[in-house]
Amino acid sequence: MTRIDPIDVLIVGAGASGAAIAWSLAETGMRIVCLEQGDWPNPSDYPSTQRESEILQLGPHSYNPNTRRRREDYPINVSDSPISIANYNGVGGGTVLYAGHFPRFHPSDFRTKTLDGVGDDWPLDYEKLEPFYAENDRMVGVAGLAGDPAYPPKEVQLPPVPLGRVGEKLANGFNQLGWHWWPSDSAIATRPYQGRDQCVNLGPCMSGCSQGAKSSTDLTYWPAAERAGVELRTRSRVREILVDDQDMATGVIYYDADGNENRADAEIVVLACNGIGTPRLLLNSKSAHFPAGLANRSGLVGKNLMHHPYAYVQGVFADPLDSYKGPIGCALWSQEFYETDSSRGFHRGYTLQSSRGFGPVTTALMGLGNGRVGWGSEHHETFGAYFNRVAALSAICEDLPEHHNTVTLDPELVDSDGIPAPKINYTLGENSRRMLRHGAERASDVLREAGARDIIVQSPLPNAGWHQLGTARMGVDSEDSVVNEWGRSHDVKNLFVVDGSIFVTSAGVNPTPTIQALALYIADQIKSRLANLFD
Amino acid sequence: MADGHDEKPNKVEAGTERGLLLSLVETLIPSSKANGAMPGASQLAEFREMPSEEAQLVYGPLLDLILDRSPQEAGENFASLDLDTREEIVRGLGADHPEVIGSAVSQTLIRYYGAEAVVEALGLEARPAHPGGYALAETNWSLLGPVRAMEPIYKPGPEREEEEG
Repeated sequence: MTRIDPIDVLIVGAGASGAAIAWSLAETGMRIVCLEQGDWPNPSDYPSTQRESEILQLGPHSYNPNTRRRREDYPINVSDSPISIANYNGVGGGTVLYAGHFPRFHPSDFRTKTLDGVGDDWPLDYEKLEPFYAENDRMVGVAGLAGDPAYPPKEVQLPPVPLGRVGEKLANGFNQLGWHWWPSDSAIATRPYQGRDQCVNLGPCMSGCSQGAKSSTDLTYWPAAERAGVELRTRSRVREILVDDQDMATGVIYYDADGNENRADAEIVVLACNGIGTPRLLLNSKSAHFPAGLANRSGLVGKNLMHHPYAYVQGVFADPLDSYKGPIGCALWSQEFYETDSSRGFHRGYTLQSSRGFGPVTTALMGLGNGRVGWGSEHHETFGAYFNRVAALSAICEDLPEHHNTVTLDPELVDSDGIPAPKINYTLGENSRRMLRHGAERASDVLREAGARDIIVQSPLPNAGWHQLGTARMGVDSEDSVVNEWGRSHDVKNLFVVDGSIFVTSAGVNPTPTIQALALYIADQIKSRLANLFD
Repeated sequence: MADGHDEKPNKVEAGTERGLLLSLVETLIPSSKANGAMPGASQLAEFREMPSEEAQLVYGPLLDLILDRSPQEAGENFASLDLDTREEIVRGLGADHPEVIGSAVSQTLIRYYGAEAVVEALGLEARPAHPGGYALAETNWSLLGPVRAMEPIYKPGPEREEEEG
């Protein structure tokens, strides 16, 4: 076993949160090393550089790791879940494959127990996190429009992504109903921004942005962090975290690109592997002091897994919409149904997010699946009525924390280094079911008002496990949380978690801005407490 | 093999069987003049030149069903039938074997709409999206007028409510 020189801060994972905390801590001058199991992505390899881009997205560039099956991907057993997992293992993590839809949480999201009697209150609030949202926005370069009545005042850096025909159809539908909508905040450079080119409306943002306009952390935080002295080691897969008899983390065991076992000693260990990778690693780090997994004396590591159940509703229009052009998930959102209204029959709420359409291959396959595209003599007529005529809305539903939704270690399945793979046990709660139904109905209302002649509902969307939250949640009570109010493990005082697993509730919006704001906040706490960090 | 059932011959190896394959894919996606001039699948190199091993993998199970259906409609005879009759036969088989027909249709759609000739027939540019990209018209944000007139719709946190109260 090779042993590398001692490290001050060892970060596991180079995605949204690992990049942000690495960059922020770099100013301390500490020796910071990040271990990432994947490699640097190469934008010239992304599907949009190939004419066969849609076909590539079905296999080697899928956002489902069980389909992609690259060496750096670990399998995920989802046989007991209606929702399969989407992720990316490499520098940038999920930001390489996300849509760039970039909403913040709302003030109420941090107080669901007090306001609505469900979930739990966070140990911090919107006001405390706001400066870190703003700092993150400046790094990312958020495209949007100030003045959204669904949010407290906030700045944006760039003009919004154009609505296109799809967005304008939807906006008219919302206006006719008198409902809220607003151009969505997007992590997409609509003008050149800090060395990144501006968006040219390629479309398939979710298989990587060849243009470099989408803000993935391989393009934003990492270059800045490396310039500041952070060392990023790719193809380095961590197997377990080591602890001593005083319950302090001493470092990690990891496999390098050649499969060699290495040990890295560190003063501080930071986990940034998100809501499945982090509990997987903690549960695989059992020891005499932590027989149920590291930092798991609360028994909550791997519990309370939250996704965002999606109701995906397509409207098919009579006229062509150029729907395959432009960032697929970034045009507008509506938060008309975001806050709790008890008359709706469920607690909390959801965002309606617009989606553009797809290219011909994906359209044909989707149409075959939902019965809108036939084969044989009816094929061309049915395809012609569907392709390039779709505008869609997704209801992104707040998922409440429930103990029975879990990440555990699969007893048989392993990754290419022999490390146990995660197993997901997840069922939709009754609140989520009611919310999905409501969201699908309201999305259908908008599409009808906009002139859709056919409505297609898919709920819950099965391939929509983009967000993995809550499996090592934060709180002030060590009996009821895994990390404290600034991300430090209650049980292991030099172990921090900064990713989506520390979320207390999921809110009804995509989580990346909040994940990154939390990582920057925790970095700030570490910097301000260096003299007594482990007390 | 003793009973002749365990060894599946490659149905698309021989030239006559290539004709069977092309008649099958043309049945699944025929040519059309209704929506522009859309080629039939059998006209495309993606199917005409498909390696026989790949064709066997994709279409073997459905071809087996066709060949096993009845001697008088099998093989060359299927290819010589008119399009409507062939479609009726395949739909009949699909009723009993939906997974077989579903897989064959999906794979045909992927190859068909991945073909350059089809992309151009749809009126699209047969090129990668990058680097050329696409143009989207600038938005007229006066659409937002009714929303700008709304009061804030977000709920402040409890502390803020107390401060304001």
